[in-house]
Amino acid sequence: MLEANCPNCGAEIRFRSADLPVKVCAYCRSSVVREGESLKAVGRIAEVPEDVSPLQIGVRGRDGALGFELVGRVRWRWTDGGWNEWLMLFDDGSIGWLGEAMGRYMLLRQIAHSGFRTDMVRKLRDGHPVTVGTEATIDGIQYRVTDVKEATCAGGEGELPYSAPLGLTIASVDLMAADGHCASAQKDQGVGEVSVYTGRYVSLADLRASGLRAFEGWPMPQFAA
Amino acid sequence: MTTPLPSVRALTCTSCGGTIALRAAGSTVSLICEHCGTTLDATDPQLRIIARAHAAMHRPLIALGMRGVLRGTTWEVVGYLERSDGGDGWSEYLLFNPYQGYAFLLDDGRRFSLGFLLDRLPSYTWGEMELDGEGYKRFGSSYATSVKFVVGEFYWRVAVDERVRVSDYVRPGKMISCEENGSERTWTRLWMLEWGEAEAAFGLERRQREWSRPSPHEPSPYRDRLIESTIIGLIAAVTLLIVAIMGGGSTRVASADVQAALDGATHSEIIRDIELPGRNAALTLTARAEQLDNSWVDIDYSLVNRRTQENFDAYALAEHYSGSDSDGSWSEGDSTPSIKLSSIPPGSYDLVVELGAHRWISPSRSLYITSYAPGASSPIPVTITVDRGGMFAGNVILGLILLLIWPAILLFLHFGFEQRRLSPVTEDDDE
Amino acid sequence: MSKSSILYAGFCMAVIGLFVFATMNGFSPFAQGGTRSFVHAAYGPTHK
Repeated sequence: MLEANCPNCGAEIRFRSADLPVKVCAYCRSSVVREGESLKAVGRIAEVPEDVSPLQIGVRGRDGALGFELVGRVRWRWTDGGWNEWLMLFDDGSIGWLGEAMGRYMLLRQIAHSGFRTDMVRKLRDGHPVTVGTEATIDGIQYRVTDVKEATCAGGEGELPYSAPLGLTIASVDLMAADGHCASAQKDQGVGEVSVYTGRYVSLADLRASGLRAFEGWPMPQFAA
Repeated sequence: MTTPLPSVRALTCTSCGGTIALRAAGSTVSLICEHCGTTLDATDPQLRIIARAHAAMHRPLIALGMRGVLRGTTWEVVGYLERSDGGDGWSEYLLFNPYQGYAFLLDDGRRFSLGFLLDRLPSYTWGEMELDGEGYKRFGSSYATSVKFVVGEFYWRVAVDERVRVSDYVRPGKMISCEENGSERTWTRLWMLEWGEAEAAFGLERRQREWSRPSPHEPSPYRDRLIESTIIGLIAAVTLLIVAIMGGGSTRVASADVQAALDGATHSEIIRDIELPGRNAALTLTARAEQLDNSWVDIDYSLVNRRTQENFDAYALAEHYSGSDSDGSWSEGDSTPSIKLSSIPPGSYDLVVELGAHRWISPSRSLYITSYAPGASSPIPVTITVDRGGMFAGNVILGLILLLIWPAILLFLHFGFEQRRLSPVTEDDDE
Repeated sequence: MSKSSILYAGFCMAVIGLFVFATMNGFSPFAQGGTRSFVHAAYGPTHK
């Protein structure tokens, strides 16, 4: 835990974990990067547009026995919509992502290896087109591609493992399996890096989420009360 | 505790200036103004116009913004569209709850169904779709649908005339619908709601139950009653058969050998002192005349109660004919007729048997007169036996028919329903 | 248990009851003679 002041506007800023070196200052929206003990302000992060998402920084939940807290968010835009990726900081220090799109949630963790054993991932890495319906096996689970799109970063907040500059473009592939498992592969179009995440679809009830945003006229659901 | 945020935003339509609501900011992509029907790009801060309406605006049965509780969750109507497959049309409501995401309310004009996007892939084996251990049969063949009318907000780019290809898989009470439009494929699972369930949730008039044109995933209204009545009917039938077997024993109370003179005068015999104890009983009077050939015996019975002189009359005919013709030899006739008397009161009886035997002469070919079977002119021996008790097959059959008539009716209704449910109404337009 | 099934069960008991009564009394509408028989066999081929 490091408590410091934003190099740009002087507001109080806090870094929770060494794995999350980037924090978006809540006041001036600068992306503050921590390098060892020193802090550097690196550009501005677009404000995330207002939305009716029940999630917010600070929401707590449990993935099975392991608790987590949402500490950051990146918003992505594509031609026909957008989605949120919430950074989950687990109680054991590890991180995961909670993808939120069309009212559904994908709990994803980056796989330990490159994923290049899978044909589809190699195609993505090499810039070949990936078609919907393609089969892909990752770590023994068979998936089918359900979605392929190009997206750009549309803003961020909170603590992040990387800087989320406006304009960062990715090619994103979503996959679904027969038993609720899902996966996502993303290629950073600038750097060319491919990251593969696997996990499953969850509901807010499954996560026993608490600290959700309250909306006028909408009673807080039982599991979060 | 932070103050609750408003979930609805008021926006101004770029085209007509009317006030419209944005209820699912962040997810909504298309926003169709309910006043002028213009489609606005909800991802654009300027609410750029994408398309102007060319169909007259009309209000959906359930208005945008209406809330209702279905299966324990509160849903708000945020979008409405009408689709058609070229023949019939149906309506779909997009329902939203910030904590539950989206659901679909499908209205096919008769029944409402509640659908959710699948988060797992169904498997396809042997022509059946399987999901969560349940099998779904394909309904009809895949068909093209197009959007006819749209209003409200959606998380995808929806437009009038947007076409998707749909394949449906059904089981009673549920449907899996697969939609493709070239670049993507989405799977939805729908649950058929009970009669009156959606109407109660959204304040609509209750629809009348009728089953002339069932939806493809409609559960048969006859199935449960059919199962119940079949079980009851089978138990009752078995009970009936047990009663029949237990009460079916018969005892011989009298037997006599008599003679009938061929072509002679009728001959009367009396079997005396037939004792019938106890309660009312059935009597079986059997006449055995196996030696008959090309002749018959008229037998008139009269069972007379010795004390009351009450009599019960009956008639039996013993006959047997045989011969040969161009097709070979033939024979016909029952030479051991049995007749039953019902409910004879207890008492002491005499049985008067009048017998008259006659020869039969074929009227057609005189050349084939068969007469003079050995001993033809001697009297025919007839053995008369009287048995008390026994079971009437007619009673058993009538009883079983009466018992099983209700399950049979339900079975007929159920199969008729299933046949109507599983046959597609519209013609396949291709394939 | 639906209402119609309860009524049907009652109907079955009535049918069985009638059947038991008929068996105990040797009664049948199909008999060729005796008390209260409804069917009278045809006479023939010649009638005296």
